[in-house]
Amino acid sequence: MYRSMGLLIFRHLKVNIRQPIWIFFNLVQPLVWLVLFSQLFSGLTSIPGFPAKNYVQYLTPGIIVMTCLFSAGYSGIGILQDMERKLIDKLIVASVNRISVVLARSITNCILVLFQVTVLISISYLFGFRLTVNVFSILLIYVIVFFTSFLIGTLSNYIAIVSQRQEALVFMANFITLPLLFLSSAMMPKNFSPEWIQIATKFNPINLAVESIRNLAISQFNTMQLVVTLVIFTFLSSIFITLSCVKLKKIYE
Amino acid sequence: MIEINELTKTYRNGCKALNRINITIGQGEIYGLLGPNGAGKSTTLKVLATLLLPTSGSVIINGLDIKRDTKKIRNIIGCVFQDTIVDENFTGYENLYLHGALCGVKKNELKQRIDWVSDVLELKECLPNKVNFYSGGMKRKLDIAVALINNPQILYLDEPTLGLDPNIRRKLWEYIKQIQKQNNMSVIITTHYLEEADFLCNRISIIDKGKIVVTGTPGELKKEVEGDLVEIILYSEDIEGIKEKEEEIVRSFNEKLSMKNIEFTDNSILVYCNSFENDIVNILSAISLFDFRPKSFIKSSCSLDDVFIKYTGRHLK
Repeated sequence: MYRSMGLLIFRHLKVNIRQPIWIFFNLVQPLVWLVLFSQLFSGLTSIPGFPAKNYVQYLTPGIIVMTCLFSAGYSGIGILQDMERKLIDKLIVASVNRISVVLARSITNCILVLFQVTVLISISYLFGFRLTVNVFSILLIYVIVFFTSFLIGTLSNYIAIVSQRQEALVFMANFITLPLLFLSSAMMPKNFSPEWIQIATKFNPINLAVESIRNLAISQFNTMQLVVTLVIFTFLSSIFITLSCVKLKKIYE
Repeated sequence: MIEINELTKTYRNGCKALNRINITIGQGEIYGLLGPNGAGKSTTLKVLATLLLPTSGSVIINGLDIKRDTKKIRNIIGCVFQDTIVDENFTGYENLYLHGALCGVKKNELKQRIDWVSDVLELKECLPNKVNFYSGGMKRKLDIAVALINNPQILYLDEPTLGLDPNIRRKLWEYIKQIQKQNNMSVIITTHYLEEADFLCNRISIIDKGKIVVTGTPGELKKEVEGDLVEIILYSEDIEGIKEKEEEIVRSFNEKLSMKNIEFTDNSILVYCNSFENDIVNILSAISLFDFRPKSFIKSSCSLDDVFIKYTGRHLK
């Protein structure tokens, strides 16, 4: 299973590298958000109680999670294309199991998001973002980015396999990712929002990722927060992977 | 050897794609499944390729049960699907290497296999090039090469030459025959092209509405519709008049000779009769009742197309 999954990840990455235009577009989008939002909401820092002096410092962790959401949200398109051009049929006949097919797509997406986040962090430095130089906290930021992209990627794959239509996937990706983003503290502190949004934010797993990354950026370790984030993300991802495999099995019966 | 017994496949929507099919295919045999769209050809191949589970019945491939020994069966089969499935962004070599590795072929053996398939299918020169520069025929050849990379004992070809020009089609037939001979491989092919089945297959089954309607060698099947086909080519000025008198002409031909069938095309009348030599006088006599003169006669023997019409009541082409 690991061998075929590794080969598939290698294949998907190679396809992406040979079409660099898509990596470029996926990279440009969060950078545009970073520039726009950092200018648009820069005045927020003057409001009493705002937790940072520099809005870019506050916003960048939110933009990192936004990159995970938007990039991984469309991960299902890859599976859909594989289904449409019968590549999955060919893989199944070649003894590649369904879990490898689903996992390879999600992991490839995570690797691409890690690359995008690296570029994003580097560029956000120009705008005043500062990361406390601590190898362990940087590593943990990457772990959270990986798990967030993985969760969204597996959800996107599941929607793709169930709907089997690109239009439905795009609609669902927007329908899910935008509320998840706005119901988090990605752009604005929780206590600045109406009460009902504050309650919703509490139950939004994406908010866990935003806050964990924000804390790690200034080397504040909240072990409990990290463990809870990773456990919830792993649990939800395994549900989506299982559901995707079950659905794939049904399709091919 | 493949033994299919009482194979039935009903889809979730209730559509019965296969209805109690029985087929036995020997080792080293090229077996053709002929049928119109929706007849059940691709469903049969999908079941044999372990992509669909049968609703009932059994399929035994080289002693392995399709329900129990799925993984083992996958190791001994190669599949060419209806649509060409190759990675356009990869080179031919990368396509072969990646698929071979996914099938579990070991590194040293894989290089030898790539050498062999590219040699047999005359792909060697273009292997270093990206597939998006390949022609349709080249892509199909690469697709077949990919299916052969794990040295399968059984090869499934689902309409392998669909959409290719006649020259490439004929060339592919020759490759398939050559590969089958070299490896004593069993090949199961579904096709729309009757001449393809005639050229390639040792035995043929005609499948219609999920049922096998007849099985035999191409020769045996053609014998069943023994007789001659006479095409009466008409002058263009007579064609309009013919169309108005179709019923009358059929009646007249029926009275004059014991013909099997009569059809009207854009510029000719096709008469299926027992013997051209015995019936030509009667054909001329039937024609003489109408005010048109035949431009020429073409006589040919009945083909698989006629077999197909006999068993299904319609043309396949």
